[in-house]
Amino acid sequence: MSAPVLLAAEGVSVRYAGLARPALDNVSLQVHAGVPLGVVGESGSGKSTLIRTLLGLERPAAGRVVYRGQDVAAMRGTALRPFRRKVQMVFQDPYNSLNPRMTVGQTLGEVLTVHRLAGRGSVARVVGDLLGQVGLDPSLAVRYPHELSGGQRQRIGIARAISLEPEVLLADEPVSALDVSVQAQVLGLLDRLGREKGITLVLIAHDLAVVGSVCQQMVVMEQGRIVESGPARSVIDQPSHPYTRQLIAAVPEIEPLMPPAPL
Amino acid sequence: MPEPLLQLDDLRVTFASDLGEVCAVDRVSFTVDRGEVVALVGESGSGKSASALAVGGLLPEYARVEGRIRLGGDDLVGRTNSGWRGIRGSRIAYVFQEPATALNPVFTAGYQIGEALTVAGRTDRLDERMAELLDAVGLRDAGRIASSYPHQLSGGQQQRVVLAMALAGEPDLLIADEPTTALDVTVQAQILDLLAGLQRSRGMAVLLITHNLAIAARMAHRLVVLYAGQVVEEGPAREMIRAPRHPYTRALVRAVPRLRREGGAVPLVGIPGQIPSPFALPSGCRFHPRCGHCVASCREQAPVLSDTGAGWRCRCPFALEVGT
Repeated sequence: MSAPVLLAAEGVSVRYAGLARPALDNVSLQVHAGVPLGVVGESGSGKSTLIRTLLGLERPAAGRVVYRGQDVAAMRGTALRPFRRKVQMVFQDPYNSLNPRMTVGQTLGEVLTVHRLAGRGSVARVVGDLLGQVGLDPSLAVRYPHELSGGQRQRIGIARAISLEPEVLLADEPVSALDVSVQAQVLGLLDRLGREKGITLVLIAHDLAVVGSVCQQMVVMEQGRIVESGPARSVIDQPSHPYTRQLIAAVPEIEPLMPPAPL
Repeated sequence: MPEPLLQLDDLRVTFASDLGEVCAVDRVSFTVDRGEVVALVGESGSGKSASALAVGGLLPEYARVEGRIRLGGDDLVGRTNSGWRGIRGSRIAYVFQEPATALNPVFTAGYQIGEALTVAGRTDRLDERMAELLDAVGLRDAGRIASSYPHQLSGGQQQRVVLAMALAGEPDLLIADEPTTALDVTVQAQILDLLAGLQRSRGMAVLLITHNLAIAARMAHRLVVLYAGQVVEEGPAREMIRAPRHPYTRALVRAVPRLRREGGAVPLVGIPGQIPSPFALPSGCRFHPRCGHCVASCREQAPVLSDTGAGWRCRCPFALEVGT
């Protein structure tokens, strides 16, 4: 792969006090510019710890996280600012990740003001523009989170993340709390933003079909380790690790159909 | 023809709210035969859970239930608490989405299964029955599981305990409301296999509530698709998944992520827009603002649910023309 590496984990291990097994055990992966990467795993696989570590929120016990050639753990003060801005996050639960006492416009406007991306006079216009980009009506700016559906809230979370014009967007189970019809909308949106705005998506999900629908590269995690990695299509079509095969067999699929029991 | 096990006729559920009365379930009719698996499919707000809760009289007091619900010849609507004795927990049992909230955190799994057996009036051979139930739901280490508190069990084990409690009364009808949505995929597959096996071996009817068509197609004989409180399509599960007749069902089928596609990757197709608010239902067909086949008459005339042959009903006048 020739695309430059934006973000990488190099032999990262993370341990939590009181647990015998490390949450991450010697994990290495690379996020190449423009190549959406999927991370597949179930509860306890370490995928959420991996995200926190890639964001610099978790200190590795061994190994390092590297953003554009720089060790994230060594970044201080002003060196941290571009990293914080260029590596953004979309959370799983659109209900708990928005401040219930702020309108959509205030939530998005605050981010723009803090990062000085819009002046007092232009905030409303930029917010309206952001809402348009995630497929929402600009009139939603005056609404509070409880007035929105789950899919709309997740779009606000995405609008917040892309308002900072990130290079990498880490999305932790962004559609698992949504209805199937809305899932497809949000995945389509993430896919489109990646192509149109040059944002590289790192999609963490337990559902292989979800990851396979958007990502070119894929890693499969089990108990803190990467057990398989490669192009998403070949991992799905020719899985080599038994755990990957187990995950594939477990995905509920429309075809082939299991015959229901005769009446 | 023998009488169906469960029969809903023009079920209407309305809730009183600050903004006036809302209708969550609007004249829904369908049946479940003995030993049959019927899946009630729809998005959040389609009325699927309200319909399922109405069957067991589990809706809150501010809900008004009209129409008829019959279970093996007995009317269920309008029963008081004591009127549910001998029905809920024995003839009808429920499994809900979150096993962690369905179980009482301060009692052991064994205590709670024992309680379910007592409520169902099966108090003889209690230990023996409990061991049988734990075995039936695939919990091998019965002694340890029975003495465990819910937080000491995994999500999959918790859902198996809930299932054991549901089976305690040997119900004719199991109502499973998104029983695997909160579980990991591999655990989900195990629980679905278990449910299918138990359904077959016990000849139990299952009303499965799910938003996932792939799960519905895998588990059910028949599908009932709900949209904005109404049945929009009903028919044989496998045929409907292959050739859905209502534009909404077709859109749902296309929205399911697939592992493998013929001819390489095809982008996922979501359904534009969202399910309408019950306070602002569109005129005419309730699906028309999101439908790719909408014509002028769809905005004005509310379509009726009509028979389209071979136990198949569809609420779209263009059902057979639209095609895939």
